[in-house]
Amino acid sequence: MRIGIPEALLFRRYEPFIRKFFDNLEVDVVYSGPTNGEIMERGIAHCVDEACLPMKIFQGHVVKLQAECDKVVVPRLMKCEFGDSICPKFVGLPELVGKGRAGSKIIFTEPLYLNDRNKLRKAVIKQSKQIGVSKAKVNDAFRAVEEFVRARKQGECYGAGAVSSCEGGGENTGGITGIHDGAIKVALLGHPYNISDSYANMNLVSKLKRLGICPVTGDELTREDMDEQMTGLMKAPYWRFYRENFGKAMALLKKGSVDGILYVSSFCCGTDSVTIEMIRSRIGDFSMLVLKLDEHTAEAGMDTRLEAFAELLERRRQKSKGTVPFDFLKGEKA
Amino acid sequence: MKLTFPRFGDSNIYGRLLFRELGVDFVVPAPNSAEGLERGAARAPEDICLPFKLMIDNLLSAWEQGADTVIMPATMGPCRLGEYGELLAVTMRKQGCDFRWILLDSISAIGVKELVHRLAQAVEDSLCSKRQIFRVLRKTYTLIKEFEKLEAEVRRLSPYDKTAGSSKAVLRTCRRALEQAEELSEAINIVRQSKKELHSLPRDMSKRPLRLLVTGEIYTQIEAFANHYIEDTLMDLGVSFEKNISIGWWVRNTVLNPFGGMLAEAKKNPLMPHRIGGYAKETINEALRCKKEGFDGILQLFPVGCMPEIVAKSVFDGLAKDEGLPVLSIVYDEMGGEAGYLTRIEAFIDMLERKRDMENVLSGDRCRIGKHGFCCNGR
Repeated sequence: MRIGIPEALLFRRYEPFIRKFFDNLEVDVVYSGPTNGEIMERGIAHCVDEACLPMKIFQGHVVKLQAECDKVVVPRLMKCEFGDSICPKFVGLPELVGKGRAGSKIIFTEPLYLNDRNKLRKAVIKQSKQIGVSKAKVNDAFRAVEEFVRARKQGECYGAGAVSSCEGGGENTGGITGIHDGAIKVALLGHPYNISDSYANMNLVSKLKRLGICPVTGDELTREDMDEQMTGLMKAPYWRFYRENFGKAMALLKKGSVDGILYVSSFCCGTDSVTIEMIRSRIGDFSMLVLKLDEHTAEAGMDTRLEAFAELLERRRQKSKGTVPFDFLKGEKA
Repeated sequence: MKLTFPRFGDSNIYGRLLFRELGVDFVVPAPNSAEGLERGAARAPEDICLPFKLMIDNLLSAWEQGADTVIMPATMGPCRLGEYGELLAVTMRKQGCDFRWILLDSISAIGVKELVHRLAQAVEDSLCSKRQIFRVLRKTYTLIKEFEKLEAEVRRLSPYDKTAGSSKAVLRTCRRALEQAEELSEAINIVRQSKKELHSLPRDMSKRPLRLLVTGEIYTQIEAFANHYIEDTLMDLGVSFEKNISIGWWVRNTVLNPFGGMLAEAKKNPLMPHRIGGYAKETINEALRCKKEGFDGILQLFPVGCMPEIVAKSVFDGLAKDEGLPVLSIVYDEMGGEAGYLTRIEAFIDMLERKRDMENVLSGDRCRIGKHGFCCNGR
């Protein structure tokens, strides 16, 4: 039996664990590979029109795999590690992709609660029949992954892969080469699948570097750092990436380690519409650029916006230092 | 303290009578309008769903009338409605409206004690005893139930009217009378009176109207402005339809039955086995029922970008292809143009009528010549 794993949505974030799990199972696994034009086009053709870009890309990966594999993994992620949910589309992912058809090749549709070990284990073991592996073996693989998780530090666990994967391997944000110490630093926020999919975001990270901007993803921040920022909200937010991005933005801002915020969102993203507004309401006139990704593949618009943003940050920085590059800017207020 | 609440559907009728009876000072926001929506949309984040934009306008209008406290439900994770409260507060503060907020969250999120505490805040100005409060609440619920029953009857019966539009007129008069009613008992009587009136109307039961099911996102279904008065449109087109998601339904499932969520999760549904937030599972449940009970088609309504309903729509796509179940998904946004919506609905209804006539022919009903001139002489 051949099992297909789509490399989309949160795959990058949980990549080491997914790979470890299936390696231990010793089954025939096919990874769909990074997104490309064909995948995206297929996704757009097959997915429901109203869905957002990441979902369409995911659909594209699934469609590609369905042709080559017996089963395709489409997880139903109910809750993340800390008990936060993501968005209804993640919970309904098998329905969104499989269109509610019973006979489709989709597996791993049991609800996965990453915050509840027993529930997760049961849900995973339930899949043994569909994968064609004995329960004991699945259990062993699950345990091995658990060991693996325990052995890692939080920062290594999730998110860390985002920026480096755009570059095709290499170091994390700290070790970016070719950028001097005084470079402009920008907090690169947004859903990890928008940041890590270099096809969808048109090589955003390399573009930033070419402009001499150092992206900071704030992966070194711990859960506690982020939770600290939630104080003062009426209701504790329940979306994982609301908490994460809002928390990161506030924490980085307080540290004063970034010159601006670059938020990568996708068109019609439900959770981001709230997150972005909440961040905006807290940062005053701090520079923030929101980039929305959609099916368009023309890069000029994106380039222009990034260049303008880079220039804006440069000027603001010089102004705060007192050296205004152009005379006409002197009259402008900070 | 001057209480207010966002408008959805007939919440203005119920809320007004309820708070009046409780002796709480309150303000009813101005009805939703195109200008109001424009005002709301200009102040809301661009990608947020339609209900939020309307609510902004509601609260602005309430603020202008002197309200200082907002009571609103904030359950329903992981859909956006649960995060509305925070964002509304921020947006309103930006407009200079510093409201006090009473967010009614689910028991599982904040606990019984906190919920009771929050509810108590809402009625702190009331002179009524606890017992009286409960009695008023029960009466309000009776009113909601009775009025929704009347609405359901009108939806079912209006196409049989001998003089077209007479059922619709009864409902309209009733609603207008309720808006003027002084107290709950009077309101309940008005509804009962209207029901009698409705039943006494002359009807031609030999007509065979189409039967449709209206389902989808809850706010869009309840608030007539948000769905461009689709009910009136359908009644004018002579269609008998059912719409089960309502304020009363919500109260029954969320407030009166604390296990409502669990029950809904336990309900078997092969197409959508789990609740994904919002009411997507309920939408699919309804659709499956529609298949069983012989409805002619489904109208799915949702505002643009509604996350759970997009998933439901994806399932509908599959259903429509595999089982031939006719579904029309109507996505509403800020556009005010009626024509586009009307054309689609009319075309859908025409298509269904033709389809039904065709089925009659195929099943051997030879003498029937379809409304559209479909003739079966050759067969």
